[in-house]
Amino acid sequence: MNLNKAEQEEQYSLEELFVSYKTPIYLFIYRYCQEEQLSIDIVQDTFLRFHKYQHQFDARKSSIKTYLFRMAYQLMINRLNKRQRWKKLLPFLYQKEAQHESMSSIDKLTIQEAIKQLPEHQRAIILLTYYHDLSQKEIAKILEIPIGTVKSRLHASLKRLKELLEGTA
Amino acid sequence: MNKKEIPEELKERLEEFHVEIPQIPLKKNKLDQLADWICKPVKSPLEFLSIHEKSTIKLGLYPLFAIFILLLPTMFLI
Repeated sequence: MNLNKAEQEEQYSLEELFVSYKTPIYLFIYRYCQEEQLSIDIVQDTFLRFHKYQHQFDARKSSIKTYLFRMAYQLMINRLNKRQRWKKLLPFLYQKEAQHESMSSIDKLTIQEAIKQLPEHQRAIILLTYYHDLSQKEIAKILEIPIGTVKSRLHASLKRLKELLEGTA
Repeated sequence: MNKKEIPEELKERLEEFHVEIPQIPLKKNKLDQLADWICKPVKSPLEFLSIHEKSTIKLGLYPLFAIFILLLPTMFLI
């Protein structure tokens, strides 16, 4: 069924969407970056951005869930990349974090630490597959990569995660 | 591969990742917006001059060019 823009906007009221999707988006972002304040900011920014660009959403191309997850993922990646640039410019501000990482690798890894140690391109795939039960097609849309890449990265991420948790990595 | 095909032992470990969900208001308060605005990275003012790490020659030439421009009026006075 084709919806015209007015019907579409009416259907997706911001408050209703926020109530329905703030928790899954927060869980995804938090499990990825493991920072509470950053995750809260990303959730808020996602819905503000959706409100601003709602007219660009096409229900025939993707579901609202996929669309919001993609928006949140892009916002998070942009924020993390900006932070990475600052890290290169002012490395002395980030020394404590580096020390923490090296210390934690001595002990047996928790699932949180193991996920954090996964390469970024593998981390999102395992989180979306396991915790959000999304199909490979949906994951491909969120991450904007081919389905074949999702399959191979999922396989590699599970293998890597197992190695990290067993301490054989 | 989907969620069901993930090995059981790995699923058990993944289940250990509990997250407490904080209160998230839809709108940011004014203080947060101000903090975001202050912390927002801005475009480098040097970009319009196309100055980057390798263009040190340009860095040397721009002041000389500026001095030349500033001296132009004095040439007409002589």
